[in-house]
Amino acid sequence: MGLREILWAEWVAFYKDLTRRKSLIVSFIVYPYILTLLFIIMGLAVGGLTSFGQRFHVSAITFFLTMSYLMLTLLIGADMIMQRPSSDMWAGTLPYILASPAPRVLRYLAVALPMLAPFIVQGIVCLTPVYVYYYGVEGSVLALLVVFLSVLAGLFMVPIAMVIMGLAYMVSEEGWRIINIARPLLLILLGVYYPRYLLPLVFRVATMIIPSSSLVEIIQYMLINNLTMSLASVLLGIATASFILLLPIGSKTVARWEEGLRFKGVKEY
Amino acid sequence: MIRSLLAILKAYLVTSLLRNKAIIIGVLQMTLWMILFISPMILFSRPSIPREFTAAYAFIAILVFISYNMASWDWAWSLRQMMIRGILEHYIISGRPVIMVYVGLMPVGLLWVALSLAMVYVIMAILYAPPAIWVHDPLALIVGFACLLIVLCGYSLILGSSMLLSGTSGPVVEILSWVLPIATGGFTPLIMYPEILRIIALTTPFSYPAELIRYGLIGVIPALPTNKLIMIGLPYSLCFLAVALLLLRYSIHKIRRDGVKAIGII
Amino acid sequence: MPRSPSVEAIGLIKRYKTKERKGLFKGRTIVIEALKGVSFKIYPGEVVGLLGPNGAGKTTTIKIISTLLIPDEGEAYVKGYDVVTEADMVRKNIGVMLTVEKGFYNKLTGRENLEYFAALYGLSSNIIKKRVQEVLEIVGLEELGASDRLFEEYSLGMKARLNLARALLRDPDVVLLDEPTLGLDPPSARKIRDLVKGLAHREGKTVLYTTHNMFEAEIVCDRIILINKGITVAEGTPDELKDKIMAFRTVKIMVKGEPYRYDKLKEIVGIDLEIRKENGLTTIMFKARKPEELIGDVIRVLVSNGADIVKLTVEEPTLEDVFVYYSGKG
Repeated sequence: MGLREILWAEWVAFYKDLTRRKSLIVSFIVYPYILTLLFIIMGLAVGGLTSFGQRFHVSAITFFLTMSYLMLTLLIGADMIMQRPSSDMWAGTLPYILASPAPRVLRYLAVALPMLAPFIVQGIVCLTPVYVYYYGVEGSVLALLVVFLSVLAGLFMVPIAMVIMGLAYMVSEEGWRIINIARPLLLILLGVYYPRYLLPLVFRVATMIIPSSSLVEIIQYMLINNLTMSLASVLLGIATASFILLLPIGSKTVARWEEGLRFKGVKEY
Repeated sequence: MIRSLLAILKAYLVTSLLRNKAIIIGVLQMTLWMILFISPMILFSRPSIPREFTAAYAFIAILVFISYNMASWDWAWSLRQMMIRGILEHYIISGRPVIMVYVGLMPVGLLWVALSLAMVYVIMAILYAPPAIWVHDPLALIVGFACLLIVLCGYSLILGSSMLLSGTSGPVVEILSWVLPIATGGFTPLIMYPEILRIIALTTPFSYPAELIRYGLIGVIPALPTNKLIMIGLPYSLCFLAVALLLLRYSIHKIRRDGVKAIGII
Repeated sequence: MPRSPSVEAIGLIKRYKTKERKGLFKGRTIVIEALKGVSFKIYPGEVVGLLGPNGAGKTTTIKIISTLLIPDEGEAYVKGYDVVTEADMVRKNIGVMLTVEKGFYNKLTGRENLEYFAALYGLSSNIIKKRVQEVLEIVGLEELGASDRLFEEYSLGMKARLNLARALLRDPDVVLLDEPTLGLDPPSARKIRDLVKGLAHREGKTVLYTTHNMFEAEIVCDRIILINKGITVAEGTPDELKDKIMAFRTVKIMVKGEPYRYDKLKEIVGIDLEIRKENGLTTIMFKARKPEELIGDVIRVLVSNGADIVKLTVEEPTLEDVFVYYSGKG
């Protein structure tokens, strides 16, 4: 059983579900804008857009729209993986998933990939007009690059999501409670809304284990026009290396969790 | 009636507090989300304004945010949970009004808000500066909180009713819980809004409690004189609650007419 | 003087609207008629089984009688109270079990869950604990030592018992049970059945009971109402129902070899002829009002085609036959 078959199965499962829930489609489209609005208005409550611009050399709208889009892209696949055991338990499908002979890494990559695909379109539609407005025509190239890096960052979340999911459900049958805590923690560590480079070096180094955090940093440097080729290469290298390093760890963690389930049995709701 | 209310409160306290630590996890979770949201707020701060004042503005915004969040995810969501667990039908059979669920849930929800706010205060004090909040106008503050409670109740009833009517509305609930407090002056003093937005905000019941609390706690000049805010805000909140109660009644009637809707996972 | 019924349904009609999706945005509303005029009467102390295939309208009927659904047309009464206009009075007189496995808070114990619902049902605080203890004993959860265990730790059988216990909390005169043994193991199902029979025969309660299980219906129910596709197709005691289709006995003739002349056999027995082939043997089956009038002709055809008759049986109908008969042709 290869990636193609599993991908096809997940693709069908995801898109059949998506196209039958209009509210979900609407939320996909409007979320980056709502989050941007939220941050801008919250920012206005304590200060002003000018203060932000002077501090970061980028407009707050561009920054928060990009970061909100990025946050959704990072979370969508990862969240689907982390929530999968509980939704499978509710649906009663977990035993069948566990019985699947498909390799774990491929299985979870296949969960994330269909979720990420609509974000390519969403990113282009949502970011390009704003970038062109602020950066001129070359803003469209920047938008494409940001979309590519965001989707890559979303994909790079797979192994860390596997690790968290495996550990959370190993600790408790109600692992979703731990995941509810892990989710915002992960976003803080990724430095999505508060750039990592503003934090002490120790924190920055510690968070490098999360592959996507380095890609988030690349995007943030790109937005403020402060990205050098060498810095980009180093960050991309770190992201790729940590992704490759985490893949087998993620697979082993999930395998341990699955093994534990074979002893305890799957909880039914 | 009182017995039933106490039974709901006891059941909710036991299930969410003692047996599954939901309230502790909820507070922890909220604290982390707040760190995520507070940190970028600080990036907007003006160097000329003392950090304590900036923190106070942010604190009030978060107070409103957490309150709506609780109303969405705790009060309104409980109706959805009752549908999923098959408890709602037994509730109807009991002959008790469903509004009792909300009244029974309120103390626990408010306790959760209080704990979360305490955490937020501590985090702000550590990461940025202690928010400079004090009682500026006790009457405005009391009426503001009363209005907030009434509006939250009405809002959660409308949200809950919409779930009963549509069967599944997870994403809709999420969107509403973000948009409403933002669009209606929950986070930002209305005085800072362009006039057209200010007028729109004042046509909704959501703006009055926020303006009164902001004035009552940190003395921010409201968009209308305080006595006008009280005179309009309080009856408006009560009317909003009345409409919400009618909608809930209609949705229960509709459930009896069409049956309980199927519930989606998302 | 005629007895007045505890539960009465008169021409119940219920329609559901559902959407048929076509692509992302297109769709059309379809009206499904769940009930097309169900009528029946149930008298005090009776256990009446509401039988029918999936989608026949059993649960809809139970929900209408328990005030959870409002019928589009028709009327229903519980102890003389209208389920639509006097819903509150109806609710005070009924106990309902809608499902086996759900309907409680996972993190509360069985006892706590029952105390919660007892308070909701308006039992006074001085009798709540006593009544909860009583119903826990009635359904046997106390005996199993499960009263103070969390609901999430319950087996399916325990969950069913707790659901039944809730239905009994108000000591109602009318008990409505929707598939109360669905998915239960035989001992648990037997316990529920014994409890239900006891409720009616010892305590004089009226029980309306839906099930698919014919064996169960036969041993639990005093009377059976068969519904199919939203209409009442037959009604009576299990024996009466069997008598109604008694004319249709099943004849099975097992022969060695291949009889070939199926057209001739069909001419004799009609379209109900069924042929099964297994291990070189052919079984010819048909239902007939008076099989003795046909068997001779059938045997002649078989023998003339060289078939060697191995076995001949005539089966009396079971309640399952009644069910299949009416659900197939209702």
